[in-house]
Amino acid sequence: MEFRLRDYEGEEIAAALPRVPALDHPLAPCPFSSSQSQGVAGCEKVDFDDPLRVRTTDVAECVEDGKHVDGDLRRILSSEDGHLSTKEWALFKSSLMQKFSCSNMISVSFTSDILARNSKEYKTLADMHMEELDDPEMVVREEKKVITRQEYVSRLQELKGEISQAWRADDRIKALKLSIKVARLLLDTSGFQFYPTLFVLVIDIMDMLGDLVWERIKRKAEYADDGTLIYSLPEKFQSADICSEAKETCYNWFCKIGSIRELLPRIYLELAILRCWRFLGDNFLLNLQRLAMMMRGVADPLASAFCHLYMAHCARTLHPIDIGYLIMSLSNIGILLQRIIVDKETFNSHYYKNKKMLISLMEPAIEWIMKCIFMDGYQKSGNLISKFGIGGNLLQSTWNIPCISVILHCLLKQLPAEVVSNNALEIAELFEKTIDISLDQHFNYRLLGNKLCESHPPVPSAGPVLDKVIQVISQYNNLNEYLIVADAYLDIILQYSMDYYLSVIFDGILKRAKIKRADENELESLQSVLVKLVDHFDALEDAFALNHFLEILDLLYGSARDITSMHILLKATRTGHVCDPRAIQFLFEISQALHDSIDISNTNDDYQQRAFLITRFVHLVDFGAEIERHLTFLIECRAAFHHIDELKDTLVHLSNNLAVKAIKDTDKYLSFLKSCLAFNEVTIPSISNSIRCMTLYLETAEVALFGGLDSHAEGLVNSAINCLQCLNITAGFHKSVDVDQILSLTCKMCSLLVMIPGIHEEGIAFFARSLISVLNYQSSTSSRIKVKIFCAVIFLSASLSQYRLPYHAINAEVVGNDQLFYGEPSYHQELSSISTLALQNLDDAIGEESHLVTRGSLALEACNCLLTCFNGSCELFLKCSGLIEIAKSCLHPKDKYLQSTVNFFDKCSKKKEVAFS
Amino acid sequence: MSIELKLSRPSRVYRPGESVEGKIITTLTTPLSYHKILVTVTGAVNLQVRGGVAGVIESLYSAVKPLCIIKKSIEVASSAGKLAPGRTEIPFSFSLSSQENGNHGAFYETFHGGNISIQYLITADIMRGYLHKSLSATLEFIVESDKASLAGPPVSPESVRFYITQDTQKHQLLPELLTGRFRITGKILTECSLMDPIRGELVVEASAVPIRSIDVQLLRIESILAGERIIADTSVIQTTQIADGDVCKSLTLPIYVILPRLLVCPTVRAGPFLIEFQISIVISFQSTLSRLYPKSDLRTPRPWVSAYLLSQTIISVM
Amino acid sequence: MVLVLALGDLHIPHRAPDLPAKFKSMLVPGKIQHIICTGNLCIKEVHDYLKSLCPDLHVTRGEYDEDTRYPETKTLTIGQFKLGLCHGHQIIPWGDLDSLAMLQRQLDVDILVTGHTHQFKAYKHEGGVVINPGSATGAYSSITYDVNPSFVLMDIDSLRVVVYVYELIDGEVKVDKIDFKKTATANASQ
Repeated sequence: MEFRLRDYEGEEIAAALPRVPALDHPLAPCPFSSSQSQGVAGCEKVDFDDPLRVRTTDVAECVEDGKHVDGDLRRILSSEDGHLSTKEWALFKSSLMQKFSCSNMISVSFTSDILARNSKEYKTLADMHMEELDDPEMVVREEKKVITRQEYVSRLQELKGEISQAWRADDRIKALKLSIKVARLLLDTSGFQFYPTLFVLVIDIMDMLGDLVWERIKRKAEYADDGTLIYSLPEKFQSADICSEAKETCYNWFCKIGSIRELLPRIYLELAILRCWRFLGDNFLLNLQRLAMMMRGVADPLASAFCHLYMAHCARTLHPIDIGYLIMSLSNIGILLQRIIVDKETFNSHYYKNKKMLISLMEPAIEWIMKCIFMDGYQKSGNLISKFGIGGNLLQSTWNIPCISVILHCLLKQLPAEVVSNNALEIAELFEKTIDISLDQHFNYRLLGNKLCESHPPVPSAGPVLDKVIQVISQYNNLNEYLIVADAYLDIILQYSMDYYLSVIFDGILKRAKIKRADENELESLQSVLVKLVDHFDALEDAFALNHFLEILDLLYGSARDITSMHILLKATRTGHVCDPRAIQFLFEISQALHDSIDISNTNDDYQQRAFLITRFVHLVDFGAEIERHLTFLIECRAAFHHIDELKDTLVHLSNNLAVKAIKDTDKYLSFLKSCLAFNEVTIPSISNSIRCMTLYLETAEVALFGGLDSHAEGLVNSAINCLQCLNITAGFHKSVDVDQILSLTCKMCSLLVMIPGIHEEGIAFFARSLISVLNYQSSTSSRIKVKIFCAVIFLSASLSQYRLPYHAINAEVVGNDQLFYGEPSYHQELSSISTLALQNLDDAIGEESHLVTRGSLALEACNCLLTCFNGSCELFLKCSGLIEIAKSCLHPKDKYLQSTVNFFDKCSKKKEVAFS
Repeated sequence: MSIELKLSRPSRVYRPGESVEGKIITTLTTPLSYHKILVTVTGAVNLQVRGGVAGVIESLYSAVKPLCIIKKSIEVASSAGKLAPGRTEIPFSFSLSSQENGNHGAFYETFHGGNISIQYLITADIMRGYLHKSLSATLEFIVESDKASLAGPPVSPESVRFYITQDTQKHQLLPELLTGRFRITGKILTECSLMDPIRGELVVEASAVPIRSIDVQLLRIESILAGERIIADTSVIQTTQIADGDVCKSLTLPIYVILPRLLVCPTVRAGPFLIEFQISIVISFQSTLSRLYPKSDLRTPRPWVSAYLLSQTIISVM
Repeated sequence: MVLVLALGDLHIPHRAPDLPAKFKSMLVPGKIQHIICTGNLCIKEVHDYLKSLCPDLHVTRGEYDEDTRYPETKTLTIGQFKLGLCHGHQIIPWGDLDSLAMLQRQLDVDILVTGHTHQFKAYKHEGGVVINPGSATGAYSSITYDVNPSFVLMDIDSLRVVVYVYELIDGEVKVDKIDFKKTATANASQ
């Protein structure tokens, strides 16, 4: 069969659609609407600080604020949502349980009897409670039992079950007695770290009892004895709405609880049913004050703090407007704290080994109460802080809450940033006066700093506050504390460009860091400081320009250093190019350190992140016209970042890009091009993935052809075929091998071969033969691959056989095959024989395909290929009709590809007839 | 066949002068003939001297004749009749006016004490002639004094100040208590209503020895005139802890004691018997000795305990 | 009127840092209803950028694309037209009309959009239309490094298509248009 003669150029001209200049087009900036909008968009970016704009946004904010306040108010008024949500409380509880890890074993002193698991005791448990409830004496047992935490927890859960069971069995006395027992567990604070967990478990039971009692009385108020609804209580009922019988029952509950001898369980039980006071009278809020007073009798600071906490929680159900009881709670806790802080001798109970531990255990309670104070609709926080002595005279403070660091800390946490910012100096002064062991002072300074950063500018007294803070921390010897505070104020310093403070802080850090290597906490702060600096400046150069920046960077090591480096890289690569040689060098070193610290311990994400940043950096490096310098840089990168496989692709792409740039822009590029090719030839084989290697070999071959290095190109194509060989070997084993990609690359290679002069000693068809032999070598290769590649070989041969090739290498020095072998019979012989070989194999390959639809479409593909490549002849039509028959036997007769191929076949055969006639 | 008594108030609490309304409810399967239906109201003070309190000789006279407060019968149905099967309600009412109880004493409040009990009962009897046993049911109702009936505004709460120091204690104290000294002050109401808690406050002004606990004890004294002698018995009704551990000094602690129901009644000073209440404030100090007697009665003078007894006081009628 | 943006062969960042600024300023979100991209984007960021211009984005895979999930070919129907999409490096020889016609038959499409040669082309051949939007960044191709950045915007309105060709020549955007109709004969020839 003969190849069909083609006139590529002529055909293209004939088929080209006429192209006329467009006067208007859809993307044209419309003179009125769209150009204006674009203009405005531009303005927005540039004139961000346009005063008019700012004002309008301010108004918008004001309106929003107004809405906010309004919404807040409404929320407060609608009694349900004005308070801390149930969800928040649940979160708080779980944080309580998690925050304080404790040893697994808990020693239990008195009241351990209800925790006993002995089943015999169990049965008599009820009797024992009776006895104990009757017995006014506190049972003090010196002996201590040790049980595991799990046991304790599960026992309490069982007790909860028992209580609700007793209740359901109408044995309310038993339920109450068991609940009292449970509440008594809170008397024992020797569990220390376990106490918060215990608290959560106990109040869970208290809450349950409270609900049961509430529901029972409510039911009595709403239903008659026989279960008929008499009166449905409104959400905001008054005590007058309650029938006397329900009141009677309610008062009885308070009497029963009032008869509990011990103070703490009595308070807990009353708190549990606190909201039931609503049934009895409308002055129920007075009870909060009284209970807060009663808690003064609880001398144990831990028990007291948590008891106050429980009150804050229970009081929510009453929706109190006045927060006096919370202030009293704080005051009481404050007094106890003061005693811990001051008192050393008389307060020597055995379990107060560690005052600080104790205070840290109490802190969540203070925090929550403080939260309630600010949540419960107390809007005038400015007014409130004056009660704490801020913004007024401390001594005149009417609430008389002792000024203690930890309380101050919790207060500050809850204060709106704006309030803090407006009183910053006074607060800082207050810190100075308040130095005690309850909280390390630097935490307070840090919090102040954070709050100031949070608040919208301007901070009125930023300067004096910073003066004060810097003065205070200059006294710190500890690097960690110094860093923690400095870090908190950094944003403000940067925001107000207070460069003086920045250099003071840097000096301070360096001075303290000289003494010893930074530890983990210090590293964390240092990292934060540096990241803030890096993020602050628009360009990295500004950060480098700071005195000591690099010195401080050098203090870092380990992961902190890596994270900082990544931030620096991220910053550096955000801008278009990295041109400054110093910056390149610096970033290169940073990247190298990042690269070198990659090890198996890195998570995949972390690795990806690093690889991405380094690759990006390498991409963005620009040496301008110094392409040799650039190539050297690529070589350095290859050596420096050898762990990152993905980077090698980038390096090859970049070197090709450099080569193209050289070819385009310079006259004498050959030696440089050769250096680039050499670089690629070394780099590509080290890439693990053969498909990627093949892609890169082909790209490099293309670039070699640009430069007229056809023999290089040939060698590179050969390497690509070798890759294919490796691939095909593995193809049988791994289904994951991307067959489509291999096929399309092989096709691409065939198209590339059109341009490469076939001066190989084994003739023009050498590569085609190599391809066929790769296929034959691989008997397991799927017929689809075979058919595609045989077709590719036929297409290639047909193209090469033309008198004028469809395209030529752009470099004039590369002579096209059409010129090289013009009128050379052996050349055409060779092409003809290789296509015959492919043709022969094609039939077998199609026949091998067992899947019908695939076989059909492969037959159609082969048919189309033949009709496209060969001249119409009886042999061709015979072969093609055979292929169409195969397709018809496999495919649906309405198959579009089948129909269009038949049409095409008919068209070709008609043409032939015309030619013959 | 059942008979049941039901009062108009579910709490069954009535005040002197009020009229008690109620009904007899019969649930019958067959018709029932009756001779007459009678409702009897009895109120009595039962006095009893428990053995051990009064000694051997007195215990012989242990049962003192009960004092009758009220006893009257009302014929709900004076003539014979028939009760239909099913549920039948027969209303009745009587008044607790002092005119009606004639010669008897005042209406004391219902009280169930150790030696003295004051009880009011309603009994309903359906008499069915001599051949049949009469059907009857009994129900206790509670008498409480009427606050509103008291003339004038409530008595201004009178309170008493108290001081407890090492010098106010008659029994022997621990040497460290004597040398270290302590001073606890406060005030407490001397009169209060049954429905109101006892309120007061207490301040630990000084104490060298750490405090273990501060308790308020409510004591009841029942005195009975037995022949020539008055036999008094004091019992602890309720102990309420107001401080647990070494509380902060100079901090006002509230005293808040809810009076237990039924165990407490207004102070009664009748001729043949007295019911009085006392409050005792007990301070226990931490000491190694105290641990050896964990369950000791707070009333027993111990070297580590000091107490203040509000002797004459407590409780009003209100 | 439906606007379909067709572009491809961006080769970002290997051969070009970004789209030409003049193109970028023209391509604003909200104007375009569909984007068809022949491939070689090459990184995810470019995909995200295109997606930001128009969420209806169709991409086929070029040999340098990182994302292996792009298909080799893709078809979609817009109005009365069936469009086929393929990168084109698989065509032997590259850009050959007969080979493209074969692909067109295989995909059964009215308009076939392919790339790879980085040269804008528009043909009517074998009854179908073949469009090559060129390289949107002007990246060098397998054949030449002399490339003008270009992309194509198709305005499809019932049976009529106006193809706008945006080409950046010496720093200026030149816009040409090509007009064609889906004719009855085009249908008959299929």
